[in-house]
Amino acid sequence: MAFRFKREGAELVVFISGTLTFHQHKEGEQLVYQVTTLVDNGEVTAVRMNFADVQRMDSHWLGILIRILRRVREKKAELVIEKPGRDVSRLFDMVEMNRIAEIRA
Amino acid sequence: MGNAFSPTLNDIPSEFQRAHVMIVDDDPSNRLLLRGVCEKLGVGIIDEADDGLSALDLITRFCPDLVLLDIMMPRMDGLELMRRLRANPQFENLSILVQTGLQGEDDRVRCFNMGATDVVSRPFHLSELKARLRAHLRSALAARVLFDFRNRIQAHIEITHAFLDAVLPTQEQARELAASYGLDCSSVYRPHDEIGGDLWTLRALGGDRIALVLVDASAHGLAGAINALRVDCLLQEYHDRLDDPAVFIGRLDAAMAKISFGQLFAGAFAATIDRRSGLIRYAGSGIPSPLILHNGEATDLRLPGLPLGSGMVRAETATAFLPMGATLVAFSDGWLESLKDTPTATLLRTDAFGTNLAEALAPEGPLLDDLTLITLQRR
Repeated sequence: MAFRFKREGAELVVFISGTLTFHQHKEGEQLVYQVTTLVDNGEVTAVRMNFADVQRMDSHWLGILIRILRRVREKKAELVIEKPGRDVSRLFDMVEMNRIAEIRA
Repeated sequence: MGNAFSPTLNDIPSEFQRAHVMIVDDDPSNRLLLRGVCEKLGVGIIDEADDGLSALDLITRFCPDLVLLDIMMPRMDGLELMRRLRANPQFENLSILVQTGLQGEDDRVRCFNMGATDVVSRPFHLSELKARLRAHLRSALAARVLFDFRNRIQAHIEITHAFLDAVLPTQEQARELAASYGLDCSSVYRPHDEIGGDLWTLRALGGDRIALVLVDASAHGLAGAINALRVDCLLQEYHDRLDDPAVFIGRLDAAMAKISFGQLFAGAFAATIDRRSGLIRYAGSGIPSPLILHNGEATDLRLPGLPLGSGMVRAETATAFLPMGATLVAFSDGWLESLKDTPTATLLRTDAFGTNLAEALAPEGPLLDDLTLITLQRR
């Protein structure tokens, strides 16, 4: 599992890759910390999370996403989820993630 | 002699102070020499045996970290001692450093084949012997740390397993309770690791109704089990709300969001079944939709929604009907991920039913996630 950031002005693009399960717990905490710090500081007002290279995701990482989403909402920023693959889309469909976050194919 | 403020080299603990070496040699002068080498390295515990038979007894009792072993000995030689030690799983990783007068390549190979970790031929260079001993002791002590850690973790897992066993129904308990409500119950519970985060319960409500609750707590292994036990505490607190499954689910969501600092999530399904009317009242969120299987058709009990713990669950109590002979099938994500086909197609293909259904549907082989599958057939 890996992630990298790209800043485009006040927008943060997060490229995530690999397998996202409970075993990547520490990386998840790092991601939450880094994204929410930037949002809290007002350095970013929009976050795009690109899932194109994510092979698999479990419910633990749904929790990671929800934590990020909650903080983004509290700071009145935007969050968009981009290009989830088939496995990730199935999970998003199950929880109707599109009701709380914009999802773009 | 050093003091607390000016320690000498003698005061600094050796890295091998906690190491235990067993010297096995029928020659007292060899044993003395080897003891001197070990003492120079600062080995804390040094034992001796003068033949294989007494060594076997001592090693079995005291489990040294390393054995310095001669081959040619009376009563039991070093080769036979190694054979017996390696046949015992307790000693399959014991470091055995053979020190022998046997010189031939065949002799050395035979030593390794019988289980030697290393072979040093006599007469040996003391500095080489010390260097090999040091290297093998370091490995042995590192292995001991790992084994001790593994044993401690195993003990923690067993204790947590017992906690979970106390809250999960056994298959017999579930069958008996369900049967008293006119239902045939089958269930499969398989954690992904030795222990997991799925949880389920059957509970008698007042009158003719029985409640089923299935929870898939986040994380796997010990962490998942801890989360499941946390959720179970909340289940106990809010079980009187099971009359209205949506209220029950909503209370769980709010409580989890409040106590967990955003780190405890779970998918959950709660349903009540009336044995007279077959009416099912249900709610849930963040978990695969259960199905009702009847007359060659499968009906999806749609359960959209975020995981509990998000604080954003908007559950609604829905109703469905369980006709005579129909089966309610509820499952956690682990079963879904194990399927090569859709749940509906998988269920429609099986000819198992009643108390055998869950086992028939359970997958073989390793799992990607904790798996719980519960079926309730109305008879």
